[in-house]
Amino acid sequence: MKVEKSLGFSALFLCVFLAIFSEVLLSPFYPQFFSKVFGVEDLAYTGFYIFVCRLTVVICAPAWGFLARFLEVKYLLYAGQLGAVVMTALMATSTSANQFLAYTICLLLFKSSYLLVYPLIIQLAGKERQSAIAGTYQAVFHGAIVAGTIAGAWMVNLETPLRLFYGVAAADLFQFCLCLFILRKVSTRQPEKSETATGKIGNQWGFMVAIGLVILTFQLANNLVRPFFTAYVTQPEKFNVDLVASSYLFMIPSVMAIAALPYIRKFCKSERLSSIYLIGIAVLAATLFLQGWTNSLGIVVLARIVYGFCLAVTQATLELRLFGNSSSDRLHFNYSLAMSFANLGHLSAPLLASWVVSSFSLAAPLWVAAAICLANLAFAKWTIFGGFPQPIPVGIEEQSPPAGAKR
Amino acid sequence: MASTQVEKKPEFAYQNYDSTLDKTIAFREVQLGEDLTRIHNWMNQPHVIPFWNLGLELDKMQSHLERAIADTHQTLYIGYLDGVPMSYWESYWTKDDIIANCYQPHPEDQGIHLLIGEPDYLGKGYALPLLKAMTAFQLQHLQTQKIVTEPDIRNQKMIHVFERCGFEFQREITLPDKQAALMFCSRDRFMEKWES
Repeated sequence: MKVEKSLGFSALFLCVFLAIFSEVLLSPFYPQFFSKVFGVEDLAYTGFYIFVCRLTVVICAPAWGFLARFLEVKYLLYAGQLGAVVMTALMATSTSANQFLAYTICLLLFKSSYLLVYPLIIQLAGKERQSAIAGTYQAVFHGAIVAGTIAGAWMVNLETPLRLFYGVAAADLFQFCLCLFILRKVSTRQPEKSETATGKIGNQWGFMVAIGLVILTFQLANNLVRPFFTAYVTQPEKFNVDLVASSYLFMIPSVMAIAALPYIRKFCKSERLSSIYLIGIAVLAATLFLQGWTNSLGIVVLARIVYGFCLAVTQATLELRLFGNSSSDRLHFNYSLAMSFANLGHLSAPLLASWVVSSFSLAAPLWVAAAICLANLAFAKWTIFGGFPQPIPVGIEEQSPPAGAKR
Repeated sequence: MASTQVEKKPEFAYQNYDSTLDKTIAFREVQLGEDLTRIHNWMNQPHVIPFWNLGLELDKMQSHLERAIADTHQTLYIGYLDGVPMSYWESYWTKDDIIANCYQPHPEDQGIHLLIGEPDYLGKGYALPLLKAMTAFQLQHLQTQKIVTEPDIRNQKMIHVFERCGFEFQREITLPDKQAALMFCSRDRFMEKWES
């Protein structure tokens, strides 16, 4: 039974890996891709393409979450995966950039359903295993980013990069078959409306807006530093590193996120989330500021190591806070709503980064990101880690401690 | 992981077969030497720490347990399920407890605190039969006419388990670290509910 369960989790995590991997595959290389495949030289087209993609996910993700409240999750997932297979294959047949964009929008309409996988794993694992699952998710997520970035660099250099979309479609088809097999005996029906939630915790809209804003600013700050980071470190007057070294520097946080897995599993328990998040976001602000302020490459490396570790821990903490405060019947809906806020952050980050760089300097996104982290800290402290009732941990119905137990 | 090794002849103060579980429930008094590491482990479980706040180091836990065992207003028990120790219980006289500030206690009233320490035993519906067994055990003291409890007011799950056992909500009370639901279970009500 346990072996079967862990196989199921491994398979679902493999789905997460493949989904992130195929999403990240080209993202750092779109300018080269559009130029090579469709002859589009205008860099702004990449910005437009990414903006439309993000906007599609912002709109579609809550729709899948909403459907999950009425239909069984696994069937939604099958539909999304099958649609993704067809659309990814069609992308390989694109003859113009706009056709490629149209197919991408259709693809994302289906692929937004993949956001149901993570809360599904949480639902199947049970609340007592949430921190282990969140840690594994962070490791898988960032592992896929590292692998996708490396594979993307190779892919863009191929003669006919478009053909590889058939490969991605095959991976999606494999995912579909895998899910069909592992979920065949599993009920993914949403529980009936939770009767155990207290009135305070049952009222989730205020909390969802608050955590949504925390997630939005968190993603905005941490994605703000991405677009111009390699440009910043390769400046001759700054660190003067070459492109290969800059890509290593760029990937340090993702590697550190994988290293953070044991820590997240061990320490991110519901009673500690508040202090871990608030300390973590403060360290994020400090390390972001350091990266923009220092002239020493050693300090940048050190700051990125600490930054990457704290990034994974704080992100996992936010997710655990979200799951911990979501009643079972709203898990998928709340997660997809939160992901819409996250995507709004992703959406605005490149736009803000471009403006900040053109108005100030290549280091400015790091300082602005640090300032946003501090604002996020203050807001999170007064809302999701202060103003709202803490989630009731698992095992509560098996305990009745004495008054003044702290003796 | 619960130790499935049955100890050598534990001296049970109470033992009863529960037909709903098809398991035997038993309680024995806590022995410091035998139970220190077990209770220390349970008190440091993630599902226990937020409520009991006793995630102490082993030496501090030893001092705490020494004091608790020496305290005559309560008796500490280890609860067993089919020979496996899996829960910790405090049975106390309410007249000497902080709860006495919240209602007029009868000198023979008793109260219950509990925790299921082994994670593998959580969420399996064991709380009610165990609680029923402990209440029955306390009511073996014939002068006791009422069992009292004070779960956290937010802990609807636990309140529901107490209600199913026969406890009735009286009112909300303020205790040093929580808003609690004061609940009573009278001997008559318990007997009426569970006497077959």
